Amino acid sequence: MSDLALSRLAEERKSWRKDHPIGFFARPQAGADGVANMMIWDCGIPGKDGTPWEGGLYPLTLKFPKEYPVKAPLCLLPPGFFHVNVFDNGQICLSIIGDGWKPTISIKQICLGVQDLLDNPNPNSPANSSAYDSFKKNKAAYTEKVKQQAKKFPPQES
Amino acid sequence: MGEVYTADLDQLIRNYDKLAQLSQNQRYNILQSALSLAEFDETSDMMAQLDTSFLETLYIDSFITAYKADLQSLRQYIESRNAAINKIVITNTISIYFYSRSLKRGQAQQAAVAQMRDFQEFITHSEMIKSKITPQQLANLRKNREFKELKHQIWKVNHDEPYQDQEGGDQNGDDEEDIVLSSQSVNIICPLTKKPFEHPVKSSVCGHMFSRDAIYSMFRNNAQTQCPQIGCSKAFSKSQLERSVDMESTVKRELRKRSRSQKDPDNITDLS
Repeated sequence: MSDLALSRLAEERKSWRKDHPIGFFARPQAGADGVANMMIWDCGIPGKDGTPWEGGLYPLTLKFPKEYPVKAPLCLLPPGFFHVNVFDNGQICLSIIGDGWKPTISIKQICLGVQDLLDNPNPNSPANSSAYDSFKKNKAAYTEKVKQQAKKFPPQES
Repeated sequence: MGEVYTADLDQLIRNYDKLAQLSQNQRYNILQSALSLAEFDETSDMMAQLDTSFLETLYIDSFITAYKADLQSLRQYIESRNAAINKIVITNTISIYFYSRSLKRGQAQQAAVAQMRDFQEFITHSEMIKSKITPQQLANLRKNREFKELKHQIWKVNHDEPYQDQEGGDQNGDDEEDIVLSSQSVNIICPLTKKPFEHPVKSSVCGHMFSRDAIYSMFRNNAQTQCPQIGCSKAFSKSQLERSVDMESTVKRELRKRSRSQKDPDNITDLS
């Protein structure tokens, strides 16, 4: 059953608390009744310094299927997110959480993978036509758009 | 009439099976005691006593095996006699003539010789059990595979490095495998559960290890799975997973070390 999913997520939680990359957060979503829902996690991915993504803390939602960790979590940025590899609904197109998923990949690795993807889009598998066109044809406008977006996601005090 | 005899013999043989089982249970108990003792003091004098007790059960085992073999050969002898007699009863007089002739001449003689030899062995064996085990016999039994396995397991309680046979044992391929295992032994965390291995199993294809139940869940819909280890592109099936007894004992040892260092007040770091 989903025993494995729950116990694995509990271990992921423990290991995140013990040690996680600076500026990131990741925690199970608090349900309406205040009880944590282990199957949905809210994360914050900071843009890397020295990139147009700097200054933003991008909200990432991880939805874990009951088959986790055999199956990858669904990784969502906010709908309409401006990124070459993010679909309109916010779903991220990234190999390590897609075809390249391995059950051994940790939540930390997912978060770092997403952070890395922000400034290193993969133009070979575009998911967002406006970001893709802008990235290909008008780098300056693209960068400006990214910077504007960063301002929309200021880091929250937590 | 013959059947009655074999039934009694069967009962006797079963009794010896039970004895062998008891002796085996006894060795298991000694092993468990030795492992617990090793956690506290592997150099204790009691360890030597346990060694001797273990060897004594092996000594007793050798009688049990010998007796059982005696009884079985006796049973075989009686059965062949019964078979011969039955055939005599159902065949005609001409056959009786030939059978009795052949019995008299060949089989009967051979059988009689076999019987004599068996009785001789009975006597030898019963003489042996009355005697006490000699130091020489004790030393010989130390070469027994089961005893070596016992020493090996006790060794692993406190040591990461492979067991060196003090008897100057043979260094074969198995030892090499142990070295590989113990160099990996620092990591006892299953990559799937992210917890210490529970019932560790090892893929014979790529050598990666997982907790049994976790990796089994990968086979729910497929006969084969890609190795979940990052960077490994091998695939394997459920039948290619082998129980890893070595990792089982490594996990046991590591967990014991950890619980020990947690009990030590100077060693408490961050338990949050």
